[in-house]
Amino acid sequence: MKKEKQVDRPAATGPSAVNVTLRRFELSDVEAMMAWASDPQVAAFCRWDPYESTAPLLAYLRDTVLPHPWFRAICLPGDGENGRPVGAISVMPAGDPKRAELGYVLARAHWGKGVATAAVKRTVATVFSEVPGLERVEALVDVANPASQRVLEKAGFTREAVLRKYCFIKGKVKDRVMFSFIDTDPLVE
Amino acid sequence: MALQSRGAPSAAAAEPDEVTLREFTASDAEAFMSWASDPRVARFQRRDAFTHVDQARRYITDHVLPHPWYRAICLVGSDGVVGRPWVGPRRRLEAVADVENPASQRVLEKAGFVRDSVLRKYIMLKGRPRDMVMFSIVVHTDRRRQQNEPRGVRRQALIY
Repeated sequence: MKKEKQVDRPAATGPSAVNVTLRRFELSDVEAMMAWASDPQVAAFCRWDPYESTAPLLAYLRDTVLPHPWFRAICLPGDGENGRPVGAISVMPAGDPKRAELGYVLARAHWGKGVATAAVKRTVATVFSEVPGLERVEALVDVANPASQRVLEKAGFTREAVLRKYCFIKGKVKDRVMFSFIDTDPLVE
Repeated sequence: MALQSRGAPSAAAAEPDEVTLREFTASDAEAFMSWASDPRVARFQRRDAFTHVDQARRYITDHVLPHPWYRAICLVGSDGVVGRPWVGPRRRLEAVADVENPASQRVLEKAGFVRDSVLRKYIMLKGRPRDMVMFSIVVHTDRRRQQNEPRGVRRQALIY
């Protein structure tokens, strides 16, 4: 489960201050992906260790990302439709036909600007119509990652529970906060 | 998941029967049917009530026997099987009970599970998404708490 840690900044008010586009990844995105995939601060809250070369990242892109049912590059305006991605967001089927788990990761240079929030908002606005039968999107965030929890709250997710000792990541047992967005929840502009 | 007791009528007293847990065998198919064929039990399960003992035999062979941890609940003094809990990984045990199944929620609470929260549209049950109450028991933390409980509250079968 990929999560970012944001620097504390005053939250943007009113309509989303950032416009992002989500598009499918291509193999040529591997260099841009290295910007976050090689960053230990980004990887700190994720299951994976920072990548040290592009070869294994290219294999991940080819074998996991491209065939994935819903895995998108987060791109900023001004870079055009095929602009350079600054992060990734994915929705993964999660053990029940109506449920999927959200994950997202962002290059550190773009933390604290509302980019992740905008990407999550864009995702819940489209994913229910793109994935047949989906009714619940959930996200599990480390209890020690309040910035990522705020991303989900600003995007309209409901904080449901703290799940104790929920997973084992990098040798440590972690408590996770469960958030959800169901198909009848109101979208946040 | 609802737990059904098949004890003698006098067992409906306040003091519960002691239960033991054992592995299932193929010969438990008839006993399995005592709950698996009951629509009141199947109401909160993914599958429909079984209508023939062959279904129970197949389920035991294909699902129960290969399962990492799946036990028959037996009443002490009886050879019969009355139900079944199963557990997964040992650091955290979690269980979900339908929001409309307070009896199953009480089973978990009395067994020492902690109520986490309601997870909305969490499980698909017979074509409908259901809100579920998530419970958990975390090894070490909750067991210490259990040892301080008065004797009457503690239960032998502390897992669902």
